[in-house]
Amino acid sequence: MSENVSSSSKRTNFLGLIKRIYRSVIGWGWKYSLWPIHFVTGCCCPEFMQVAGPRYDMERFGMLPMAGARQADVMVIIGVLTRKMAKRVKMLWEQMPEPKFSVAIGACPIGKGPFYDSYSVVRADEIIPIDVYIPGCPPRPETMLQGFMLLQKKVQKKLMEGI
Amino acid sequence: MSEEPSKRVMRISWGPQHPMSGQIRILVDTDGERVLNIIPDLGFTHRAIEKILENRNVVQGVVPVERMVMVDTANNALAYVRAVEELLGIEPPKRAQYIRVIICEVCRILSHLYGFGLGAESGGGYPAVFLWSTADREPFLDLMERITGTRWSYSFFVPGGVYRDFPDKIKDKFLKTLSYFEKRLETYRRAWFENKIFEARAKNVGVLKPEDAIRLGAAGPSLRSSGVSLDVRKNEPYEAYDEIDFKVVTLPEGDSYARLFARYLEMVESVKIIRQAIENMPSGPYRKSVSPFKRLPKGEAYARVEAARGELGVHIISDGGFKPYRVKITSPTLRNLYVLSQLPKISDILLADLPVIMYSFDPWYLDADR
Amino acid sequence: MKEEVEKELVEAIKSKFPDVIEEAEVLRSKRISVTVKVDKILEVARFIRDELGFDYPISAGAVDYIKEKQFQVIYYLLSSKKKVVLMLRVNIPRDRPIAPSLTPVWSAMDFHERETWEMFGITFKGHPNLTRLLLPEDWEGGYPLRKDFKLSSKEGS
Repeated sequence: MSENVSSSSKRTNFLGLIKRIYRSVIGWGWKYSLWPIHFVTGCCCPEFMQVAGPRYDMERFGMLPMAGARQADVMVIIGVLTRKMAKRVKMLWEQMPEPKFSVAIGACPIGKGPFYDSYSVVRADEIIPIDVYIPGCPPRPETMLQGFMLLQKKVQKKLMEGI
Repeated sequence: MSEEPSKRVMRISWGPQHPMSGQIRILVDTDGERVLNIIPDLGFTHRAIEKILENRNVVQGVVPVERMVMVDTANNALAYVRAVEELLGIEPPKRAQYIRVIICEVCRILSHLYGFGLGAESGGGYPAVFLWSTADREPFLDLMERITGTRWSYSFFVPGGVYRDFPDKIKDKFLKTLSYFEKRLETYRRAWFENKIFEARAKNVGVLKPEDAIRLGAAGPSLRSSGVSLDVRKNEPYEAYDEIDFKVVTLPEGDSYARLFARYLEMVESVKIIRQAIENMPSGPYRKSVSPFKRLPKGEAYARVEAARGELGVHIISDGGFKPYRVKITSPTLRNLYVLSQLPKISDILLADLPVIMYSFDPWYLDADR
Repeated sequence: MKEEVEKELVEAIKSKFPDVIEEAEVLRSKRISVTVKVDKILEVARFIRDELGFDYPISAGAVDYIKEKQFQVIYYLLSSKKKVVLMLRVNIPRDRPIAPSLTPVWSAMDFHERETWEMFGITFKGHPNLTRLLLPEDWEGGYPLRKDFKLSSKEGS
């Protein structure tokens, strides 16, 4: 009896190990090929371009801006989000296939930033669910890179726990 | 031509999500390859800055204004600060004026690098030049960080002067950066402006004649590259510009190549201006203190500066309260967008030339939307 | 020699339209301001453009003087030869905000008058296309730059 239990538990352990290795390899592939959609909303965009530039190279993390919504994994909200733009953000978010993630960069999408009393600025999480918040006005490139690494950890964790 | 025009015309919606559109939707009516009409649909980044400024005192008001154009922050902040100083009737000390000129010219270089980097990418897919220009902004951003503490949106100009003095030994760092940058400017000229492919794409494309440029209200290098020599730094010298020797870049052709080349030549002039300002900087105080807790005098003031994209004006009207009654900001990009929308009526444009023409005007839509 | 050019321009306007100009003054060097009655503004505008050389349109805006119950529409113009800025102002009553459009004189006032309309509610008669410029298409919240529109209002869509 105890032998059956131990052999079946050994089999379960072995299967579990294979599953974990498989998931971690897939997760490594996922997290190093997160493609953001080529879309800028506000004034933090020059700093985002510096991060995509040669010095703080974003592409070594595999983040290559993608032109179409159907081929992208990450929606990056860079800077001020206004009501008029929010409708388009929602449309694009619904067009993106699962699994998808979102990052809010800058103080404005998080809590309206210096335009806190404007009638036309909205917070990003009133429109779409946000995974990572990167504060700053504009955030330093190192902060943005740390934010992307947090996103990678989240992607890996999501996969390890099963989709 | 037996078909009706309405059946042949196709309306393309070039929307806010596009690699080369920016934060705007442009509706383009085309008949085959010929562009009939360009209708810009603005407002995607409208943050209501003019309304917000009625709710901020004069020291706090610099923060939203400088975020109008992030690449060219200093010129925007300077317009607001100068309008406040004119209203209060104070003049900043000489050292502060030279510091302001240096920072404004560095911001002009940053903005033009961005502008013609994007122009290169649109005019033949030269992402290499765009990445070079991104990399060449880094030494200047490091300089700005040494001086002001941050890379963008410095909040460094206050009514009465500048927030802090230059740190020690910054002059050597400036000269080193400028000599590096002059070598890079040579590389850009050889690799891109003397490139036959780019010349074929941009010469004689989107020609704007001088009379049309004035009548339609073009701004900045887009106006001066049509042969009209209007520059606020020479017409109404402000800060220390009347003590510095530079020339206004004017080109006669008025096509997209001239508009982009004018930005390159303005960067060369900016380097000259910064060198002179660094050499001749006087010593002395850098700030006259202005309290934000006193009432503003009743009256109005309209200050104009030459931002990188054109003339930017801030008109402040005060009724004697602690905060301004009305702040009106005149934006150069809104004028350039009107010129763009009228361009199909005054010259022949093909659909394939549209990105080059758009980026030759160097639009920054947050400036038009405010 | 100070402000000679500006004084000449002000005198030229005052002498041509003696009873239509409410106020014409030199504010400082390179700035002059002219306030006109609303029914004659098109004539004055054509004179300013053709005779005095104010050919470059900078912008247009408005101010809400709620206590005096009027709007003041301001047009900012530049003379490309004389390098002087002229602010052309017209006062209109707040409960009937209608003014003639200056697009027949300076066509570039198109976008600026559209923005003034959507921010203040001033109708410009004769404007070719008075539609929304900056606010969202389905904006129902009123006129934002008026003084009775409070910030952080929840009226928007």
